[in-house]
Amino acid sequence: MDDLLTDFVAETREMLEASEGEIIAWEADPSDKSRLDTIFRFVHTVKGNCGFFDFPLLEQLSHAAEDALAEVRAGRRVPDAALVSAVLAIIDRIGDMANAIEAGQELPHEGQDALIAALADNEEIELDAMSADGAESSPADPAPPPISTGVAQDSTPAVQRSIRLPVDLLDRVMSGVSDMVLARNDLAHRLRQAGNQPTIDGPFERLTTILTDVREAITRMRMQRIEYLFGALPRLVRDLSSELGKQVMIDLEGGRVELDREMIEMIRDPLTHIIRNAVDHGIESPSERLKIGKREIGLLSIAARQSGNKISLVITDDGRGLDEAKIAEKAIANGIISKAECDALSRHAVLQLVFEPGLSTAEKVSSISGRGVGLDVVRDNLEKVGGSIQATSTPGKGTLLNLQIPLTLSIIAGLTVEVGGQSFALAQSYVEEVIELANGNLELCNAGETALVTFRGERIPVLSLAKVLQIDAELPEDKQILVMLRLANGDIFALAIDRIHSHGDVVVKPLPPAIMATQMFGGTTLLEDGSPVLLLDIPQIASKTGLASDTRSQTFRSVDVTAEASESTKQHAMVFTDFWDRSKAIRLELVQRIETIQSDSIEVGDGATRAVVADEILPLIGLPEHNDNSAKQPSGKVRVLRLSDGSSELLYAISRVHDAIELKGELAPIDDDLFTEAMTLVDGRSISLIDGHAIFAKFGSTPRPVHALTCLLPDNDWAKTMLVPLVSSAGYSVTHCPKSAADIVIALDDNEQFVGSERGDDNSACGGAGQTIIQLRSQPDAEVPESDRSLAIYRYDRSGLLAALRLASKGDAA
Amino acid sequence: MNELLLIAIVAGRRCAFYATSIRSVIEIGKITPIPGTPDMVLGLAALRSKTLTVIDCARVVGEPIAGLDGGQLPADARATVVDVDGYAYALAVDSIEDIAETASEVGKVLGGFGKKWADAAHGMVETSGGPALLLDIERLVGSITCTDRAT
Repeated sequence: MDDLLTDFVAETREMLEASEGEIIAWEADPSDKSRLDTIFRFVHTVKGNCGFFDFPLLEQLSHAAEDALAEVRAGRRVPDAALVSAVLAIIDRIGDMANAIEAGQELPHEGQDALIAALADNEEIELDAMSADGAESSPADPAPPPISTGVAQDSTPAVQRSIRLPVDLLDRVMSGVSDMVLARNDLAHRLRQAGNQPTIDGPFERLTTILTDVREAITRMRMQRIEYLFGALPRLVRDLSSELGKQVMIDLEGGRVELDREMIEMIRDPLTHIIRNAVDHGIESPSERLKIGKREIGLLSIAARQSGNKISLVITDDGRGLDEAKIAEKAIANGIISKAECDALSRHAVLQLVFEPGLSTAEKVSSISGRGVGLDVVRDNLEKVGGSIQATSTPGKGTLLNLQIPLTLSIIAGLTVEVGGQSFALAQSYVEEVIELANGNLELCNAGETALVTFRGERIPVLSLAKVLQIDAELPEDKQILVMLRLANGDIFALAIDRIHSHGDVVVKPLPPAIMATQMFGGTTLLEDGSPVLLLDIPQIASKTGLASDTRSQTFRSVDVTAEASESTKQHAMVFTDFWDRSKAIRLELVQRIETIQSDSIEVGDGATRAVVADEILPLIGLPEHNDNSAKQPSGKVRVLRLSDGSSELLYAISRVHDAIELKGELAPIDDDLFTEAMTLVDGRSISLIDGHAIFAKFGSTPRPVHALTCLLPDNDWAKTMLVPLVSSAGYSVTHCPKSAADIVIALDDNEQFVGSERGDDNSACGGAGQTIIQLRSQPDAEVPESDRSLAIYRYDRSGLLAALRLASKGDAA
Repeated sequence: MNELLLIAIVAGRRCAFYATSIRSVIEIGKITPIPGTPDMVLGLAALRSKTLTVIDCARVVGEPIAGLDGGQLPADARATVVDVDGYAYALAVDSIEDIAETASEVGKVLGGFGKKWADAAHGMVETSGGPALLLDIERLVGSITCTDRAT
């Protein structure tokens, strides 16, 4: 939240600076429309942001200014010197408030009413106010000047400053660092040729370490998960919908997509505007929805996806949709297009008119949105960064806005594969699994032209990358490696390749349009040695070869809850052979990945064995002792299963992987082996199922930086108004849903439902950490017998509650 | 006004580029081919941390490049690095000759070059070292889009 606030202050200040010139120009010539528009947008954005945070004073001011300016824009009011002065006074006050917010001080509120009153279209007041002292807003308002100067002086030392840099400069630094890495690699190569030179090797090593650090820092400087942007949205939607008396559920998807910090800043406002529009105009009131047979709760879904060098952000609502006729009518009335022009336009083109300046289809102007500034600003902002926006809509069914945001410089987790002697990269987010056909794990069969493979009971089409690219593969079809790829719409297909090289973060750079036209590549990236490789555009390849349907249709799908529930009750396990030649199984949910590690990366310590996998040190189990003759000794490379319980990870060494199966047979519990959960029958053979809980309890590595603990609070008004601020300011995330996994439960005595509830040790038991329950009571300590005091905490005992929370979080971390 | 030209040999002919539009002249190293693109796109090459799309000028004008051996350029092949619409390209030529000044206005392409040459050029220009065909970088680069549609 602090980050957001800092951004808000910085943005407001930046816009103030930028619009200062405009304001002065407008003062000189109040009839200048374009200046007016700029100032209008400024106050509108401030108002918008205030909805985000809770600054009623600021919102009141900007709303008042916006109202007055909207009147002028609509031609209902002629701007005069008095109005200009009043608006300027308000803008000055906004600047003061921004300073106060930054310094964490109370907002100046004296004279607020006078400021707003000065805007009123009432000549007498204006004359009174203005003639007295020109620039000052009102004679009855002596407070602002001292406050503003006082704040400015105080704020400097108290706040951690951040600076904003031009992106050009960052780009230059970034490409400089990339060049440095290549030069370093070249130097390393030459040093190796020259042989060992201790006097040079030492400093060179140091250079390498520093360079790695710098590179990482630079990368981090630019990239951010879109989660950061998504984080504030649920709150925004909640506040908006409660204000408007609507019920809206927000569904966010793809928060892990990373993109430029700059880009996130650029889409923050557009996204806020779009959401406001959707909630205000798109989604109907609950009664209206019920009447037309929709669910009472409106659904607003936002999905981020990366495809090639673009991020697509699809925002859908299931509201009333866009009214084509109304848009056309408005556009003609406002002189955006002529009647004849309009008649010639397709429905799609008419819908795009909502992005024209000065067009709003809302009948009513509310404080939430309206006045038609939203969408033209949205489009302007997006086009400024090379993005685009398109609207599609079905009347009565909903609206879909598709934002395409370029990813000129983006980092994705990539997998480098090779076919026909050439390397290609693909985004790892699509990869489900990698399977070697040579191991005989899967069988290929042909149906007409298409090759098919049976994978977990499903027939999946196999696409030969060599054929797609029209080059010759080095390996015969049945010796290739299959990469299972899952598309955004859930379709799976297998891509056949010769070999897999490495995975790691790659920086995607755009390709010229002529090469993008091949519809196979989404960009290019440089390998460690500086040679370029092409990034495969998986969705494009799939649709080009007819493997995928239009992915867009998916965004409208309604989630079938029952189907998902029945799916989740199926249990899957992976069957493998360990080093004692025993068949074992482990629950599939625990298996993150199958890795192959070099045996020299395994370090045998006292009692604990560890191994290095992709720069991480993890505990390794399942390996026989060196003197254990009953077991096969590993040689050279070791296959390991990388297991995860969500917070900690460990490795399980195995001899061979068999297959993933569904656990259909009865599970017979076993008592004599600590690490075996049960025995089960698979195809007539008995297999022991590893107890994931037990191995994580004993071997699981300590979780890396602990996530914010979740606190489950009772779902009543007292908890919402009193407890939530207290608990969240103490650094806990808050939930009201008894089903969600919470670390700490706070229960009230008048609200029994959480105490000793049905939360048994279901699958959350794998998490290891148990829940802590903090019981609150309504009676103050004095009214409770001393013996019972320790059982619960008085609900207004702030320090007691915080202490209990601290204790609980310590217990959890240990 | 005299302008500086970079004189290069393309498919054995004396050609010129406006020197101001050339960012640098490089020796092309390893090229990563791009499947699915027309012949004139040789592939991608790296210039430090930048990626260049390498275009064979000779192929654009319909001539086989001199010394092209089994799809790979000769080891000392040169290319001029240019920027078109924000993307960097390397235009592979037979060799780079010299820098010269224009000695005349740009005139029409004379007969004997053929349509493809004429399409890729601003026109003929007289230089201190003799006449040269002044190539249009944007049209050279633009030509790959057009042919691609057909494939």
